[in-house]
Amino acid sequence: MAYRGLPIGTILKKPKSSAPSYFFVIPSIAFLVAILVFPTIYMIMVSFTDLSLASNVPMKFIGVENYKNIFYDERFSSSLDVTVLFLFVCLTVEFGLGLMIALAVDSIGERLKNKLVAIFILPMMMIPIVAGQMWKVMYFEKAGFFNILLVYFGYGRIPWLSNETWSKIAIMVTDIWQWTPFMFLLIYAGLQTIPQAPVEAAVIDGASYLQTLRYVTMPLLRMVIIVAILFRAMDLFKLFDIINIITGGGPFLATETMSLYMWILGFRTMEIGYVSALALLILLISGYIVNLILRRIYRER
Amino acid sequence: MARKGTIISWTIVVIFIFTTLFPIYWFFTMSIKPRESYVEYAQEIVWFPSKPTLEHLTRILRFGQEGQLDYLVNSTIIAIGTTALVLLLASPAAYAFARLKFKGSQGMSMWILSLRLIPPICAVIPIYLLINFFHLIDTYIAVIIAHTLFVLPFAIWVLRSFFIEVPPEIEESAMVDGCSRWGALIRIIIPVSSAAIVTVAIFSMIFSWSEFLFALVLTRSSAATLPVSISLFKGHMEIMWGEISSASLMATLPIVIFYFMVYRHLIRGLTLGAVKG
Repeated sequence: MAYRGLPIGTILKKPKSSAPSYFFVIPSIAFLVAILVFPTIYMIMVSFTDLSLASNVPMKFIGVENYKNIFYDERFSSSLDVTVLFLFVCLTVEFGLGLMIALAVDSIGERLKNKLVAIFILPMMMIPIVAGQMWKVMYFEKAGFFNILLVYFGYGRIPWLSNETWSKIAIMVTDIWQWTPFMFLLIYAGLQTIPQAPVEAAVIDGASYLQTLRYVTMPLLRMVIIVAILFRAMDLFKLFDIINIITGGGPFLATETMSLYMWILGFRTMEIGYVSALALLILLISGYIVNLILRRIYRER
Repeated sequence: MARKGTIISWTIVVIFIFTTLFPIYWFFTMSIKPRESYVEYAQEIVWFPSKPTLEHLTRILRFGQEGQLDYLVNSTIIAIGTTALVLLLASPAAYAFARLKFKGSQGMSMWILSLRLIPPICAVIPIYLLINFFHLIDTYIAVIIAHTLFVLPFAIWVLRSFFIEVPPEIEESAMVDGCSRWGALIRIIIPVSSAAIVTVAIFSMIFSWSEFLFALVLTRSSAATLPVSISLFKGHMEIMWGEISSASLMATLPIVIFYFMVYRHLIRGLTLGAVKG
């Protein structure tokens, strides 16, 4: 251990009772192992059985039957489609809008900036359940805001939550409303840290606004954008709360995401054996992807 | 050119201020709108009720049957319990990952981080099996354990990013004077970074307060948190809007205050220390 800044020849007192370094992490690791690793091992065992909490029939070993069934489960593949659709649409729109607002706020006078940021990130502060109820009130067929507006302008009411297409849109709008601020906040913060010299040089060289944005500003923001997209993608992958509130997965599974389907399997129809197999499969795949990406982002930190 | 740019910027900003704030305004004014204004087909937009009522708010600000104060108490106990447990476990671990080099530290810290990012639905099943096995469903401890599991990786990484910024010279001089590593952590690092600890504590509370999936699965009624109770109003949508809105308002206010308390470190907290804001 280097004691910097001490004159040569200083006699160092030996630190008393230096506990081994890993003592510091033992409490955390022990907690995580007890709470997550052991139950996961139990879950792996359960995934080879037909355990169902809905009946009192003792569980029996059925081998890889559960894993085989996953590939024939149309409801699962439909929920996967919905998840991927939400992920791509929301991510694209949130990024586009977030970038647009960030650039707009950044170009507005210094004095107002902080107040604007505080306003724009308000949706992010809403508890997801509250945001869900908030938008459900907007969509509500009888007296929801959108339908009153439509009637006011002489159009018919839209059955927002009982139509397969509209309900998808309803969910996506809610997520976009709540999480565009996240993209905005990160991109805006990134904009404050990038050096001005290259941007000014590009403008002097006659680059248009869009060219400067595309070839100078965006590459400088690369890291922030990657992190923002990654965090949003992971949140969208597990989208659950607002769907549970607004549509409950309906109508006709139109908005049932993977998380929602697994929750229904586990805690409504109580097919613990099958849902364990499903959870394990997704855990393995997502764990692998997450680790791969994390190592790249955090390696140098 | 510059003028045109400013006009476009202002247009964008004004439009988004409206779309950001309007749903919040519309929803929370539901709490003072009289019941008649939304049970029937409505024809016109009521910006502000002509006869505001406190009927809904007084109904939910009670203990027992219809009241929400029981759930407010549950949420508070669970949020504080989670935060205490998280800080206790996370501080030494974050210190070790920030300062000490030991065998497997890199692998361990990465493993902990990846736990934060796995889909919660995959973790909720083993946790449920565990809690069910010990007959702890619908107890505070069940929810506190589950929330700690998700906050802990976050807390370790964010605290670590703060601890790294403390100049090592401070503890080194303490250790030269005979202080142990634990002593350095407790007497130097934690006091010096008390602002960071408060930040992480507030983030923990925000997480625990807002979390829905685990609270939903692990509670029935006596330990249910506010998000769970707010979600369960959904059965009788038409008549309960005022109550839903009032309960939501009550659940949201502390969170907004908390958010502004950690405003300075918001980005670091939201990205687990990957981006420093």
